[in-house]
Amino acid sequence: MKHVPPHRWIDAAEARLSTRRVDEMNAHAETCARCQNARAQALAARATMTELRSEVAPELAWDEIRAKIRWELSPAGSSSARLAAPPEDSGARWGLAGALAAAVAVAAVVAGGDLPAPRRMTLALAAARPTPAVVEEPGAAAPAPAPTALVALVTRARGAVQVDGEGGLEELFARRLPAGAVLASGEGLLDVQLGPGTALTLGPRSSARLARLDSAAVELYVDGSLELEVAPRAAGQRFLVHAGAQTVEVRGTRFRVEHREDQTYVSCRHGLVAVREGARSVEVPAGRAVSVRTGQPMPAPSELSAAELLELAVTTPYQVAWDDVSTVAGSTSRLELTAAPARRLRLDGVELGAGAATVRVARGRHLVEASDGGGPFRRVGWAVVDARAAVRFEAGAAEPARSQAASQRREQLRALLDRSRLARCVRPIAKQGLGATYVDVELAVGRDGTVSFLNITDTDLPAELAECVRTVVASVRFAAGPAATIVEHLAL
Amino acid sequence: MIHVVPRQPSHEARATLDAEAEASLIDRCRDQDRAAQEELYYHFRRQVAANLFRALGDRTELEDLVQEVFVIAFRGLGKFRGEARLSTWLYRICVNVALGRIRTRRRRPQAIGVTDLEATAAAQSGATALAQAPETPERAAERSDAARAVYAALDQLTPKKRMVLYLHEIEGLDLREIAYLVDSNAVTVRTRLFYARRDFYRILTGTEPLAPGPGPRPRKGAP
Repeated sequence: MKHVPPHRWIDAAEARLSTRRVDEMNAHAETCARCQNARAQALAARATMTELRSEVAPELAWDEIRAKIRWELSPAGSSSARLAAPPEDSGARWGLAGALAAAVAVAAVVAGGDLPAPRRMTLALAAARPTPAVVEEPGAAAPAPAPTALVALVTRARGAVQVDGEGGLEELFARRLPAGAVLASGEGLLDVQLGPGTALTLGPRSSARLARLDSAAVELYVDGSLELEVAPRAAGQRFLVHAGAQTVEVRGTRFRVEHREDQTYVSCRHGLVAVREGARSVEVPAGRAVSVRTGQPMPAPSELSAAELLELAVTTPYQVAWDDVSTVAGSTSRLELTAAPARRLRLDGVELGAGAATVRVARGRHLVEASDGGGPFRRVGWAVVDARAAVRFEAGAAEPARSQAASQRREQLRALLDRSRLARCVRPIAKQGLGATYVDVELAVGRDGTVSFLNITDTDLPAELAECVRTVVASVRFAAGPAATIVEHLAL
Repeated sequence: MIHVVPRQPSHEARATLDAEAEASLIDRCRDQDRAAQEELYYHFRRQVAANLFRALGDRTELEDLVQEVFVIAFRGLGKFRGEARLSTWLYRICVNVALGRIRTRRRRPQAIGVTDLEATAAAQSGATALAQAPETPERAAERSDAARAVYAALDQLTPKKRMVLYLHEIEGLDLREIAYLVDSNAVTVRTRLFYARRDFYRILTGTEPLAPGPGPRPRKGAP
């Protein structure tokens, strides 16, 4: 008999062939390694494809996509898209346009005039414009337009915080913060978004004033701790943070400023910030920090530790997709998340920190996850926000902490378990395209590391394979430590 | 009316609205009602993303593709005649967008490592529902390897064959449903599916091309 075409094994598995034909194929495979191998591979691929059927979409930046769709659908977005992406088959038309442009340029030179300055497109902070606006930068001779006033919005509040002396959540989230607004915190955090990609977090026991907030410049005065994420500035736009005698200027970066009494500490996660005091200045690049004391020489920046970098990463200001402030204010609602103080929360993949928090979210479903005791985040549920009214979501109390001894022994078991031997145990069934099996084991470990009992409490494996897994677990040699009885779920 | 429902229910239930709510939502979207457009987006965004994700096998540019699907949908709602459910119509747009992406990818090789990095990031964030179940790193790696092998073999098929095979084997759709989604007829889909399966398993198992066996004969002009 000839070799069996690989797809025939799938036909056989789906009962599309006669029994006689299947028997012939199997008989051939018994003596043919190539067909045996092809059968195993084809059946495994079929099982994988069935498994892929249940694959769900990864979490994406839904609000950002929404904003981009809005932009695309707006008249400005449509014309911009046409300008940016000419159709592929329009070469002749573009050639004609190029020829016309060249002719105009030649005519200008012949007439003794200057060539028109190239038109540069820059992204500006949007104020009253409906979307991330594309504006043309005027030529050098043209008078500079008056800067457009901007407003900011509160995006997250936790604990005792105030804006202009008001501390009620409803008031905080309803307000639009113009230049001059004063932010203050007790034992709490306050996140304020100043525009697309630009936001700040006011740390505990701190205050800040939005001294200037317009399309030309943003200026803040801070006393205490401030985390900032600043989107790249367009030409002519400035972003300044005044901390006592020092001024920090950025172009687009993620950094932290802490000012207490006469000392200012500036750490930078990415981008570049310049710290100035009078005529002296120092540049702080990504991954470095500098501590400046008023009147003292500027020290060189020092490297941030891994822990500090991690903290900077975790404390990123919370932001929403931002096109124009009216749309954001009109299409978002307040979501109050309640949780135990030590319970870390995550909303749509964005970490919110530990304990209860109130955030601004777009209307729709939002995934709430929680983590206790440094463990992995697990889904708590979906917060459905479908109205402008505030929505409260109970993220629950922290799960009871497992005993430290059991946790320690469990970690040791996971670290010492020979996974390759476990994989060998289940290889016979994996070859048949079966997978996702498990074994639950219970074992008691003494102070000297000896295992006094080891039971398989549950499994979906055949007995001989389960015994193989048990042998692998029994071969783990624990170090001396606390005595504990642990139950472990081994997914194979 | 065609309403595509996978043979086995997907892990994530298909987003559907009752007919009345759907008609009202479509009308409001046609009137450029922003709130309605947002409602439609939030209702169907995960379904659209999941369809694209499974069709392409990676999340590279997934956000851009989701955006493209909705922009096409909002611009084309005026031509939507209601012969299929809104979710099915969106599914059809997803298929077309994914086909476009596959064709572009074949012309322009993908940057090495992008997929892996993003997949790792997604896995670390616990983004997939599968990641919510306890899973050993070995098992996750095996699953990932198996999926990668499947998509690598799919990548070697022509875009049309690939799409038909994906819709049948991964999404579990029947010939009539596939025909609607790829704008073809069931007989063509059947033929295309036969050759897609044959080629796919040959590529996957690394076997040499074989002499034509029993099965539907290719029609003139068939792929």
